[in-house]
Amino acid sequence: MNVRRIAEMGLLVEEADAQQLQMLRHLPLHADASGNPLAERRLFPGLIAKPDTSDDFEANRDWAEMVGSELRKRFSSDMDTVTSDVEKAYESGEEQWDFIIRFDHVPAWFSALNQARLVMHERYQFPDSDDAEAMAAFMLTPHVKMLRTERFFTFLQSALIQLELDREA
Amino acid sequence: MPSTTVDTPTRTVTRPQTEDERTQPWHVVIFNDPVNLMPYVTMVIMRIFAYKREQAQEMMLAVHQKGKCIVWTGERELAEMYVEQLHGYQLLASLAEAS
Repeated sequence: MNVRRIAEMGLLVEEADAQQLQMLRHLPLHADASGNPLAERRLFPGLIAKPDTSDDFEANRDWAEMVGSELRKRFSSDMDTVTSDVEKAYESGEEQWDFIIRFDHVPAWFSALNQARLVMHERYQFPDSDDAEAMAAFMLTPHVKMLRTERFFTFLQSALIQLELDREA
Repeated sequence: MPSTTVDTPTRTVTRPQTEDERTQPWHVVIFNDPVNLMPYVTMVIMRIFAYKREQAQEMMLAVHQKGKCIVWTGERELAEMYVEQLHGYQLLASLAEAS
């Protein structure tokens, strides 16, 4: 897979293979934080990081009610945008897929890839990549496939960020 | 653009504030997390606060190396708006009293 910018159009994702496209089709499943309080808290943090007064707790309750609910809608809409892009690509390909992420869809892609990565980290507790011993132990667990999926999302997100930063420079 | 940008402050989330709370400065703090990519954090800081890339990179490195960084200080309503935007980009951020 390669990602490059097409002037006036968007970001062209070239030669995505079947496995990569399948991982992208599963993005909504990976980003689903329901049933995982840690992932819920990470996606929808409070206004005050360490509340210790009744005012702080009240502020966080208000924040969850007003801002949290707004963010849920927004993140869901972002995921819908990406799902639609991926399904359109899926319907058009056979063994390899090329598709364009329109510039106005790029923020939704950042959001959807990040949602999935954040939830996966909380759900599977991936070790720090600098910790060789922990990583070696993790590679023997059934969750290693999820680590590969998360690494693919990271690769794609990194490519999109670099192209966006180049565009803004 | 689908999401992640809020242009104007529309509300102050918390209960009616005292005069002191309205006038005292508040910090917007970004915390380190193991997931958000360093260039992504830089890009978000540039976009929300309109800082130059060098300044945004310094702040991102402070987040990464020290665990957190104050990225803005000012009145509460604006501070809340910035935290909301940062949460929209899925950064770990919060409000803290400047005093």
